[in-house]
Amino acid sequence: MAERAGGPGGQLRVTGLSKAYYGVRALHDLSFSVEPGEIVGLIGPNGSGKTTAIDCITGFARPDAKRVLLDGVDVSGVRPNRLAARGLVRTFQQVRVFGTLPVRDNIAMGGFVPGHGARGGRRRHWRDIRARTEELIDRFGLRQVAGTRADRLSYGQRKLVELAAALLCQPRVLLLDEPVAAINPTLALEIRDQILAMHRDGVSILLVEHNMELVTGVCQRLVVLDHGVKIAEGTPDEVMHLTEVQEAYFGR
Amino acid sequence: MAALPRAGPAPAIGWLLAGTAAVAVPRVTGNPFYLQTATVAMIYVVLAVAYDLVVGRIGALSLCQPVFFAWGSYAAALLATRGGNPGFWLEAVVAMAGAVALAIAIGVPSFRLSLHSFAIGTLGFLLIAQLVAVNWISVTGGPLCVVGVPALTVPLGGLRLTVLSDTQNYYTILAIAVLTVAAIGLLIRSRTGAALTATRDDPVLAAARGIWPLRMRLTAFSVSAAFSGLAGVFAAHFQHVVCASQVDIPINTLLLVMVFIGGRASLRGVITGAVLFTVLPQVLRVADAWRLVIFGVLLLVMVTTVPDGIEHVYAGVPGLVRRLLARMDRSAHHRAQDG
Repeated sequence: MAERAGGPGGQLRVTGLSKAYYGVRALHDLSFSVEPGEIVGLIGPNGSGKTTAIDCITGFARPDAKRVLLDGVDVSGVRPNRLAARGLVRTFQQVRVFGTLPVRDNIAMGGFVPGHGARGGRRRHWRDIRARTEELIDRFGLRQVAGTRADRLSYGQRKLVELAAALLCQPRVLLLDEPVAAINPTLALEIRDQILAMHRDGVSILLVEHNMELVTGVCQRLVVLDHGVKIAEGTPDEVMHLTEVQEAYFGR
Repeated sequence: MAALPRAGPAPAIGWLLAGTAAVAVPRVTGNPFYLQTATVAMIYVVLAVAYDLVVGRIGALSLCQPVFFAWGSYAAALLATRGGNPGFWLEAVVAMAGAVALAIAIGVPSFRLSLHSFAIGTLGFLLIAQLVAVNWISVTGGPLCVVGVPALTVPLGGLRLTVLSDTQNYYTILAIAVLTVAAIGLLIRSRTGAALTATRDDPVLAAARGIWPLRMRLTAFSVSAAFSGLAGVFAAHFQHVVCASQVDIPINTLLLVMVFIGGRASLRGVITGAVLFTVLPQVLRVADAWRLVIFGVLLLVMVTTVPDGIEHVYAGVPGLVRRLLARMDRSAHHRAQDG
């Protein structure tokens, strides 16, 4: 594909991201990067601006100021569907599926990413999508519900469908918005394994999550937000021992 | 569809029966009134199936469907009366292409904000179109209508076939209806159709998966407009007159009733709804004043009790047949034991 550089993992660089909702500051001058193949955690107390950051980066919210570079190319202001085509793919905090479509179609929908598989023709492209869809169905243990309407699934199963669907888009940088929120511990472990598998495949990941066990377990680097401002950045070990971080979470 | 297969096989028997019945209509109805009613029913099948592509498939409430219908009628009538009567093909191309252009012109700004703004935008479009139809007297004839529209001619090779009798008219619109249902049915079952459904289910997620919701919505709206325009071409020649009343809310209301009571996003449901709600009022001779009241009440009752409409009944048929067969099987088994 013309728009994508080689290698599975992309580099995401965000500089000067600011966003206010009706005068309330949600994010102020946030800058960070995700290097190719890296898992970076974006953490912070409730309302610190994590989801706003993802919305702004992926084009779902219009920030007041930002620059987003994907593999060195400025993609600020690009529409969400074009960003997905460039490999900047996200999931949602409140799980989202196409309710009336079967699980299989939900996953295969990523095949519509424009420019996807432009080489080799349409027929080959969809054969490839079909094969990868079946692969992902097995990988996420969704074989038994592959033909079931997505709105008949449990919350946890929908989370798996969403992850599989995101992976079908062949992300270079994957932004996961609380992948284990409201998930039972067993499934959370499975999702953690899936995230590690994506990491092994070389996908760059930005993980927004409240579950500290998951974050500290899989992330190489953490960015900590509080009231829309970055208050710390570093390895999980470094960050968790900073007094600013502890104060943000537990109060002074 | 390969990568995105649809659930369940198409119940071919039902379609075959309906098709046979539709073809047999002129044979079994001696009365021209019934045949004309059947012809109008087919016009509404085209309109309702096209309308459902917007209302059912992408979940956007369009209130300007009559504009595309009337546009097709005016285009055909004017070409036939003042444009040297070029025949069906050119009229159809002008009607469909013009309807698509209108749909894009009104769709782009109306879809921008939300689906609510789309409803209001299309309503505004209808009101403007109505004013134009009534007041642009040199073209539309205003309240005096475009009259004397000749019978439809279809240039075929060197021949010029003219659609004269009621039976010929009926088979012409039946062919148009079959074409419409087939085209829209194929679209729905294609990958594009799956993307339409995805956009309806969750436009935000669709965007995250690389689908541009505006493009999907415009696609459905344009295709819908094109087939409505095509129905308009036929209607102009069938009625021999095109009036400004064709650009009015009641037609849209009737289409809403057909789509909602038939069952949104269900081809067979919508077709049934269209036939039912053209034939029933004619046959029952319901007074015009009461018709909309009855429709309104019926719509309320249906939407609150059976939101899937007639499709709900169809969807229940396979299970019913299975249970019946099972019961017959059991009683046969019992008889065998008793004997």
